[in-house]
Amino acid sequence: MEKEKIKKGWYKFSRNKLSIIGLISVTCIIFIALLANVIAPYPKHAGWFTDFDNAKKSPNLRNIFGTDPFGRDVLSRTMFGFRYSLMMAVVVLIIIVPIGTILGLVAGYYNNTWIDTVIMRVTDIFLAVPSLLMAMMVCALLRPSAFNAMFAMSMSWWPWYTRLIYGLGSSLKNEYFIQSAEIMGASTSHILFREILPNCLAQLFTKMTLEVGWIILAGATLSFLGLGAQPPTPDLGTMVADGYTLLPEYWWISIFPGIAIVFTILGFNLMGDGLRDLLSVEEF
Amino acid sequence: MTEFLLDIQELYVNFRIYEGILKVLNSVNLKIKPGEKIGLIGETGCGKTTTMKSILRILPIPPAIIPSGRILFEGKDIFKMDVKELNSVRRKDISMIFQDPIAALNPVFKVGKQLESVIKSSTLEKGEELSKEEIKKRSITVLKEVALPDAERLLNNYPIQLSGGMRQRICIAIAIASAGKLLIADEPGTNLDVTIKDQVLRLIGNLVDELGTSIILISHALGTVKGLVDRVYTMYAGSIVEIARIDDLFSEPLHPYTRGLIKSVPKLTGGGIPAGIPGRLPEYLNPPAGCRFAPRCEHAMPICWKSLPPIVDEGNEHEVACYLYGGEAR
Amino acid sequence: MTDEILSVTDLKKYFKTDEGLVKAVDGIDFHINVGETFGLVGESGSGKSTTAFTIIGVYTPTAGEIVFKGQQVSLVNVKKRPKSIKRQMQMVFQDPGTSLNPKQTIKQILELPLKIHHTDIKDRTERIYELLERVELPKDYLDRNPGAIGGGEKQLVAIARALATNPSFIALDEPTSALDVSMQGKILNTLMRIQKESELSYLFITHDLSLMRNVAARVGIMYLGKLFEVAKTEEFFHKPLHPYTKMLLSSIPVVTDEEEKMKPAKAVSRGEIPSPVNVPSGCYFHPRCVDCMDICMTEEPPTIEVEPGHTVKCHLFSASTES
Repeated sequence: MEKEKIKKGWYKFSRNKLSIIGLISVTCIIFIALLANVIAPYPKHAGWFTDFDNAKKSPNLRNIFGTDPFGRDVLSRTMFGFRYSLMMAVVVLIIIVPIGTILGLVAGYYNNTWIDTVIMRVTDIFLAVPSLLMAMMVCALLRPSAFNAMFAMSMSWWPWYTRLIYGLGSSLKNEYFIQSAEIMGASTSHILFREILPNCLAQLFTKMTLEVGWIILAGATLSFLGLGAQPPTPDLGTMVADGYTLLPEYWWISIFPGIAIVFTILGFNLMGDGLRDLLSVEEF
Repeated sequence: MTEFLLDIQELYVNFRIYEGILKVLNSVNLKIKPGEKIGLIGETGCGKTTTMKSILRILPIPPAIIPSGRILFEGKDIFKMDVKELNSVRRKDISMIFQDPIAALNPVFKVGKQLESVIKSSTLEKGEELSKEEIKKRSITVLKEVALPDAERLLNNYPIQLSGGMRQRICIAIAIASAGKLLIADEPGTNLDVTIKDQVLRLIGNLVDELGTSIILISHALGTVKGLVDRVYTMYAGSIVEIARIDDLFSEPLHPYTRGLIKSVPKLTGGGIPAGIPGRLPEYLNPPAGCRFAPRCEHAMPICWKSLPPIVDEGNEHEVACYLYGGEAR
Repeated sequence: MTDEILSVTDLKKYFKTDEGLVKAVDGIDFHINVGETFGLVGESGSGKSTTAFTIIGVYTPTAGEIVFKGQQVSLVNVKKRPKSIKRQMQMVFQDPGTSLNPKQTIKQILELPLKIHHTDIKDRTERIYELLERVELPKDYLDRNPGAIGGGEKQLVAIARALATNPSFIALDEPTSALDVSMQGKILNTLMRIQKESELSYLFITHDLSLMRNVAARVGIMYLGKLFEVAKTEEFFHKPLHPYTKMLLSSIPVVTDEEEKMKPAKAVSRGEIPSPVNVPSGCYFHPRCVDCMDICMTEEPPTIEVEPGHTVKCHLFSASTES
């Protein structure tokens, strides 16, 4: 039975060739991120390292992506950059998904009561503040750091999950199988987590996958502004910042990390599309 | 001049899905003369809607595949028509009333607008060109014909503002507004209350008599078609199993499925709960090679499993596809 | 003297909506006897489903009394109903497709009531097998999802689930309306067999009068929240009194001539069913009633017991209008 499901799932996923490209890309990114310190040519360049003799050298055989103003190998730093970006996305998701989901479940189940009003209005407030502004405020209050940037992003991102789950939960709550559980006397936590939540997982996972790219971009933006990871951390955004004043002459310093960001977003988006197809219910 | 308005000949329709091919329609034959009223009875999943969608060529192809069969409308093959001819037929000759009025009406357009577009396209097709005023007048006329009160005000309403019965009547109005030669009504009134459904069906009957249109009335409920049609086709798992005049079908059903179906209906006069027909519809993925009712039939003989029974003419316009009545394998 | 298992007195359930106050159930009285099937019939807006939901406990009554096995259950907020009562009253819903959680297996679905009502873990599997046997479903269904079984079978699972807690009362809201006629027999026969085996009482709701005729011992007909007539089945169908009952009976599509003869003289249905937010004055049915009199337009008719066990809510039968 299970094998059949997997085969059918793969069939649905792979019908769009782009999804496969997405899957391959994401696999590469994860692979690089996990094994960065093994496969990067100059792993030490990801930390405190300077070699001013070798600074700003264009792509050559020794440094395939060239070197940055500090003489550090751009390729190695980009590989480590994937690691930091992915890590940030994972941390942010670990924070926002449980919080957003629980709030959404509760607000959805108790919709049209004061609980719904309180939760959803708070959600609206957080949504109303532009995320970048929110991040800047947080970083101004606390010192700029990778961790604080993640915290700031979490603060502005969780409402979307609340909204998603609220929408699904409040419509599911009127289905007969929920009524049946209530009539039987099931506890509220059972209904929220064992009855409603399983029916939301498909959309939840799809959303998470599609969002990884955007979270990474947001993080890179913050780092670009100096609000995120601090030097010498090889965050992709910081790397773009390192080189953008040197464009267009020393293009490789900003462009390669930039391409890495695009590649990541594209990969996750394509894979997310495939995931959506995989989880969709087929009808002819 | 061809004898039949619509002639479906040996129609087979398959659907390709991941698991394989669903062989849904298995040699469907249906003939209707101009002005004739026929009923198509069958339960969920028997293929009646697929058949109807094939007539109008609104089946999604792929995943639908039509390996063989012809549908002749006024002698012309529907599958061979080009888009222009097909659209002409759709606009002025054949109209359809769908089962679910909520789904059939566009929620973002007012009723008046929907009527207008139908009238415009059908009259243009016939070569007439009507002014806005004339179209509006015709809309009101047709709404009055379906017994909708306050027709003028109704033109300005959105479908969501109206009750189920009214929506269904608007669908009927739209179908009549393009007054064609053939009306296909797919379970009209199924989602309506009994008293309203009664009104709606009566209305359809009267209109059809007045306009002289042919009608195919599809239903899963036997009682619905009684009093409204002349002949009935019974369909099971993609094939026509019995054809008869309406009174003959009820008084002398021949096919075991038809008999089982009639027996399954609880009677108003009492008699307890009928047993129903044991078993369930065959899998279209791997249907039985012969008669598809064989697995559930108490009279099944070895030949029934081998090949599809031929349609045997029992006289008096009563035909049945069953080896119990003789016939060689097709 | 038959025991009453459930009695409902002046039950009201109102809903506040954007369009206004919907009086879904507006003062109804009836009772159900032990081991009996009581039928509730009516069209959309009649309030029959709301009545079932209010009795079962999905809604808290706005007013009125519900007495189950001698205990008042209406006063308490439904969420606070004692588990012992919840255990005894169960419901089977109209749409088999959404009555079962699509993401669970049949085993999980049947296990839930056992878990809630504290059946020992070691006894659960046996009990689940028992339940499947009672509805004549094979054991290998346990690992399947609802999506993999047919509509009729889903309903059988829903019935098995309702039986899990050994209830004494089951409300059935159109249990076979979504199924084909050839499937109905199996479900209904199963229900009748189980009823005899366990002396269950049913509140059976359907709009299909031919079906009701063969299922219920007594029938009540509702319209816009009011109960217009209640009678033993035979009387209800052979000697209907209320004009609405007659209108409904005359609209049923039937197949045989003898059934046709049984239907009341054509009280042709006319008019629309009014929206529950905008009910007519006096007797709610008066705009569509062929026998409408002046008093019907202004005063709500009283409920009269015309014969023992046969009540009607109509001015035609009230003493004050007898000429």
